[in-house]
Amino acid sequence: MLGGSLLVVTLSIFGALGGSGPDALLALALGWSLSVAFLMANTAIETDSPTQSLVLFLHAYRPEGVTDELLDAFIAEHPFRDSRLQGLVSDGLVDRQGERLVSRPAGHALLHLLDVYRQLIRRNRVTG
Amino acid sequence: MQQACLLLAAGSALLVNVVAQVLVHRMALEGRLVPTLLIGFLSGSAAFVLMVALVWISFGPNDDVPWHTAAALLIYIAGSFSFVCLVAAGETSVRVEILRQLRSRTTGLTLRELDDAYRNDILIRTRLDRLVETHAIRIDRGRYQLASKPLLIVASAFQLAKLVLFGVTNEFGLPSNWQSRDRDRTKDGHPEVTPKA
Repeated sequence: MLGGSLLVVTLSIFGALGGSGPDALLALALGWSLSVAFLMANTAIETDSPTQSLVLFLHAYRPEGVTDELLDAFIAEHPFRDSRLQGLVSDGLVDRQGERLVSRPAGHALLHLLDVYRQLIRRNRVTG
Repeated sequence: MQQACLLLAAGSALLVNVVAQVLVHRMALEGRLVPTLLIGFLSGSAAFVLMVALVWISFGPNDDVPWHTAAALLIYIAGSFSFVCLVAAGETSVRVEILRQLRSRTTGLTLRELDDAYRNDILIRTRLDRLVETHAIRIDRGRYQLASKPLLIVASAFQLAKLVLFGVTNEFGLPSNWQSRDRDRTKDGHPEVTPKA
């Protein structure tokens, strides 16, 4: 995002955007919007969705279907919870304090935003 | 000035999108997230078209207006996509659910306490139950069967994108054909031999 912003500012200074402030503003807004969308899409592609993995797993076992034993094997081979917990620690959203795992302020802010939205739409379905 | 007006149009359309989705969910389609997101997007799109028409009329035809409009449209689409991703994260993201569990106690949780509240098998079985509930999966003689073609198409598209972008089919380093590998092997790990006729 910063690289894109720098590019737009440089192009604007050297006249490639006609030296126009409004053009630079539009280009910056476009760059930021696409960057955020790319970040969202990239995260969704990079990490496995448990639901999608489950769907592909069931598809692989057609037409016989999946038994509970096979499902247990699938769960053991796909440690989604631990993988995401590791990601949260790496990204600085969760802190290890001795044996305890604690959510950091950035994590609280994200949850607050999502909770406000869920309250607004009166959503009370179980998440996760 | 034209650029600023189109930027405002994209921002306003995004706001209409979010507000319409919230209102429709609250007042008419409670619990039905996907249709309300679609209605929100269509409402925002209608608002965008209306505002762009006003800009075109106000500033008259010029060489730049189509490019500026295209940029504003991309901003609206990217914003809407990000909104959908954020809503989806609030509903089903494992990371968000872990954060919710940790927030439930001010002193946080030990790994054991987190296991009790949100283990790997809990999160997968919650999803399985949800898919059964929505008839995307049916249970036939004790076996789970996939019944949703659209879900399979979406999952396959994501898997293909992962393969193209990252060169893997899953994040756990499993072989791409691990399911069929397991299916075709006996319990002791050897390939299953089909008896010849």
